[in-house]
Amino acid sequence: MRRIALTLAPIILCLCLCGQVALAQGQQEQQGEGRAGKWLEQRGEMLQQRIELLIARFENNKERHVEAYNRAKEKVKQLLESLQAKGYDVSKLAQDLQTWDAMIVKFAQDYAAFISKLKELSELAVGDSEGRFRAGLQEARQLLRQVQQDALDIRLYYQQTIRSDIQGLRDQVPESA
Amino acid sequence: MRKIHSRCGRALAVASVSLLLSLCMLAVSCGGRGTEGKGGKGTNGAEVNVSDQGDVDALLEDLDAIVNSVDPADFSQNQLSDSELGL
Repeated sequence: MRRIALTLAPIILCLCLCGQVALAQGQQEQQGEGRAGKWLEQRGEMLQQRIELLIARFENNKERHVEAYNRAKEKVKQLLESLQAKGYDVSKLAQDLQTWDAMIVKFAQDYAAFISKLKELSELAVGDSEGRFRAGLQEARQLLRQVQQDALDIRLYYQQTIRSDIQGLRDQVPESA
Repeated sequence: MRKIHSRCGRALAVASVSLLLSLCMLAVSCGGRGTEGKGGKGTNGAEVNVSDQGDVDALLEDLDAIVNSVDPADFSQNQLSDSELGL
């Protein structure tokens, strides 16, 4: 009986020690996970704030662009009407203006899709997986590339088509005054 | 003496009328030339309005300034880079 007790005692002691060590490790891991979770949450919030800031900046840029395009469009329209009344053939410029208007509408639509994706990304920044956030960011970048291309197309269309057609009108002889 | 006076009066009246007429004609011809702003004749004989050309040039300058006031680079990829996002 004594021999059995002597054999079992170290085993029980070992088991108790192992249990305590495991418990301590578990507590440490829990603390670590808690800290990591808090850090991730803070990082997500910071990211969300940055995205909100970027959205505000993009909105401001978009407003400036649309306002400039509309102002330019209005000036071309006024010239077109005035020259038409004087007997100039403005059919080509009228067609240019329609094409330009469609390009500006496309710019506004593509921009709206981009901003919508950025807002979605802002939601993903907090409490979502890094992978999903990165995928969303890639999509947003592709949409932004399209918006920039639209803005370039609008500028180039003015420089290469509308401007030269207006210059052509300047040299045109009106049929009747 | 009376005859001389009446002849002088008639001559004065004729001279005044002709002076007035010539002044009117001068005014009409100057007005026609100065305010219309017409330039040379075109290939089919119709006149090209110089003020139209001036308007177009001024408008082109305005349009250049407006279109160049916004830059497509406002939407460049750099605006959404990792560093902009603090990643």
